[in-house]
Amino acid sequence: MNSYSKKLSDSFDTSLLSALAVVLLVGLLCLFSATRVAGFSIFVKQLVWIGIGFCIMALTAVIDYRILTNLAWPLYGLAVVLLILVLFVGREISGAHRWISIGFMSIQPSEMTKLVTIVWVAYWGSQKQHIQMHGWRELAFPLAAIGVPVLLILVEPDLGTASIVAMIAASMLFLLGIKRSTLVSAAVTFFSALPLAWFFVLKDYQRNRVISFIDPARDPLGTGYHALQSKIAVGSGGLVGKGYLHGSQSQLQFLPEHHTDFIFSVVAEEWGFVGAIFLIFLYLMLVSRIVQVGLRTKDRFGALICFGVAMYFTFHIFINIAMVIGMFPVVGVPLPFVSYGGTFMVVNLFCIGLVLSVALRRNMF
Amino acid sequence: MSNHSIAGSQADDDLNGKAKWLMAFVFIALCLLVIRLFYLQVLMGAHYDDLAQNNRLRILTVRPPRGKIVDRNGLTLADNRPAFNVVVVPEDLENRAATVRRLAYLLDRDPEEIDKAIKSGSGKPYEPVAVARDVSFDAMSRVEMELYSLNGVAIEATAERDYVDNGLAAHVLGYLGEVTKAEIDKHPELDYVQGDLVGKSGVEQTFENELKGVKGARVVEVDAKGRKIRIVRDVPPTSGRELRLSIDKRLQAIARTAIADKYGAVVAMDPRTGEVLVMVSTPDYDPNMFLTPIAPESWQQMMEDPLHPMENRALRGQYPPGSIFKAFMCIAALESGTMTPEQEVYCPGKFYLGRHAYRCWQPRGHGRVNMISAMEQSCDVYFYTLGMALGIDTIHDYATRYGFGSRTGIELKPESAGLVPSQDWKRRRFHKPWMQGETVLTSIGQGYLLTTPLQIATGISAVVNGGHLYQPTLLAGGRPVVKRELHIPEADTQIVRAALRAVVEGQHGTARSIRDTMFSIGGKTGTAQVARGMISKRSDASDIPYELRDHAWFVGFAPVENPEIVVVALVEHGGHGGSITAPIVKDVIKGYYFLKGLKDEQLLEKTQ
Repeated sequence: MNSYSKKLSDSFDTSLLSALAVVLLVGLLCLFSATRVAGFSIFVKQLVWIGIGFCIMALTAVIDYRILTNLAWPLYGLAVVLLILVLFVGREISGAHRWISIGFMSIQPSEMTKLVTIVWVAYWGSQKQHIQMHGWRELAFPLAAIGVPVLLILVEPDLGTASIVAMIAASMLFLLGIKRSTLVSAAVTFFSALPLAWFFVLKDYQRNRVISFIDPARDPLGTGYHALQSKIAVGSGGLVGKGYLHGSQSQLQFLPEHHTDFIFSVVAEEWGFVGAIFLIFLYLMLVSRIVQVGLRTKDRFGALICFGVAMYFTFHIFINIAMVIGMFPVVGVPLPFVSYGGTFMVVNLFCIGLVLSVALRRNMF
Repeated sequence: MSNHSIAGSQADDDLNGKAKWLMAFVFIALCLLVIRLFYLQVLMGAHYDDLAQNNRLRILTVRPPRGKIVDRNGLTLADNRPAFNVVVVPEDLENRAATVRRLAYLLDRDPEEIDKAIKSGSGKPYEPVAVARDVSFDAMSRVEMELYSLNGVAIEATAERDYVDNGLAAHVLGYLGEVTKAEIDKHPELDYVQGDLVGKSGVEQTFENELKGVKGARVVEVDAKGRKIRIVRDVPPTSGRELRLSIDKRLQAIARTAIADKYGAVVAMDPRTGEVLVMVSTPDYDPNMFLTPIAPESWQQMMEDPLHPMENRALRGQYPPGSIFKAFMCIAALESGTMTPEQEVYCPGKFYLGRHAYRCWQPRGHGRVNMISAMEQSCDVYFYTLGMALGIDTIHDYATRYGFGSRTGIELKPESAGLVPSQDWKRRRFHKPWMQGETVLTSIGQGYLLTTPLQIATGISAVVNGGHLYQPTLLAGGRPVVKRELHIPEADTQIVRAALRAVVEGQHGTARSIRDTMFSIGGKTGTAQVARGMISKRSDASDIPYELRDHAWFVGFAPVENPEIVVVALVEHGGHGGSITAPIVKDVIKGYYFLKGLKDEQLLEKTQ
């Protein structure tokens, strides 16, 4: 066994933290560029949230993540209760019930469900280690368990979050091992269910988003306008970009919401292809470091947590950027560590805290 | 930790093997993004750069015409007329200072005002800001001639609200004003933007959502100078829904003429439905003047005017009902069985409560009076006696049933609730017990009692229509909404109607001057005391200072047997009851029959 300090420096993931620091820096620079016309309040708020997020991250890293094994079910129960509650007492914003007000702040139970799903599947998976390959029979229970919150989120309605929760759970179950035949039949079921979902699950505005994604000219005033302007902003950035603070599309506010969901267009416009690739590379670093932590730990629960968090980030990054560059319909998915938004920032830093907690304890078994 | 965390190496290796798939998935997903970015930025970069630099797509909002407001017969109350706005696209201004100066000269305005208007825009530099709304044709032509040299300036054709007849029924219609930042933030789903006009009062406010319509949009491709190259897409606006009010515009005009330069209110209602036919409040204002931003000074002046021209006295003004309240006292007497119609009271001109004497308005006294003759001559002593027999809480109970003391719920805001006192109320309000003398005053509609002209119209309608308390409405042709069924026996309704008829047609009726040979009228005069003890010797009260003179009331209905119209008139500081207000009510009732006859004639002609 190594000396304690050696062990600590070995466990403490400096490259993970450096990648994170650079992403945050890039994010702040972009946010400044995107919002300086309107004043500095948004920028300052984001700084404050990052500060709060770091405290929570540090705290999470210090606490042993394994207490979560005892909290998996209680957290799951809490999430389901809140998701039911939000349907009845939630604040209605443009037809959807997503927020619960508790005194001075509001919480979004569906956002919290993403984390609870990671913890719950990790817990379930770490208990079922003796099984190598899962078939439908073994998967029925976790699928039903995850199906409940997914359905509840669909009812709100919040298709984007529901799919992310489902995808995180699916990818984690995949890691646990699924029989080839089961995978094939799952894929068949999924694709044959798509047309049904189109007609029975999707709301009008959601269908419009998909239609205007396929054919932006059909609705250039609504979501098509977003997509078109976003593409113009990204494309006009060219190889090296227009220079920091010189993105005409973003500076002139052709793009609404360009400091939240569409902030990647500011990166791409002002820093060009080079800058965009750099940011994507940073994300790749970040995600691969998280996976590395998972690979190195000897604790199955910790490993699954890391893989879940890695997928959580990957889905957000991919869907957000794909939406901005016109590869995906416009859904409200923000870009981790870059988009403006306090809760999202804190949740993301909490996830990093969990990974750090796993990293710090990976040799303790 | 429990045993499950000590994982077998077999299982973990398996998990780790799968994790390679995971990394591969992440890598491929991110590669897809990079490929797409390469296509957009490197291969197509020049194309998009072109789009961003030279040909910009702009999305312009096209405002819908606001829904028309018409009266019950389809006559126009508020319409739209074509108008021209001068707009500026801040981003396209080449020499801002010079352009602003030139515009100011052409439009004959203060350059600072125009500069301020540009700054007040949405903050999106490509979105047009109106710097001068509804400019004259001449001014528009002058700007048009120089448009070639004024980059960033454009003329926009729009529909401007037009309150015909200078806003007859101004208080019903309300007025429009620019939407405030707070309103935009409060209702993001309503899609308001800076510069939109929204209803600020009256039905314009109440029915804002129906009247406003749905905005259209136009995507235009413009060149580097902001000039329009082509329209890429045009989604026409949907105009707002037409609103048909229950108001009869012609009768409204008759009522407005009848009250003339006096301050007060006239309300006419169909007692069979609760539909409001007339709602006049004076002094009034011209809602057209709010369409173009008005100078802060004149706004200030308007708001600080001691006569409150913006206030709708018909439902905001609160006045003691005076003797009109006696009609409700009669109903209370009959329904509670406290007094029969034949029962007589002797009026010596005074009513003693202990050692304190309450005077009848007629110092000589009325002698022996029953319900009908007491009403006819408005004998106070009869009602003092009745009031004492009923007690304040029974009076409160009946007044409340007829809608007093609470808002009628008509489609206009804000509305006053009025006040009906009770023992309980006084204890809560003043922490003092109720005094018998206050019951005496309440019996003749004075004291703490406060009512609005609309409440009187609603209440009297229920008295004469057999006990159906309708919710008053300003919309035509809807299903009447019964707020309360009061279940008045037909015989009792007959008695009260007869009593009210005697006021106009009886030998000693206090409103004898308005009787008519063509149609039967029932009614009641009322005097709302402003300063106690001021008793005038002249009928027009000209010997008392104006602001201390009493308010004059009259409520009338016709025809007596099957009432079709109830009219209330109130003149502030109008002196003694009937003399000034009864003729106003008479004019409206006469106008109602005249217009009805006209309609019948037209019908007759059509059928022949």
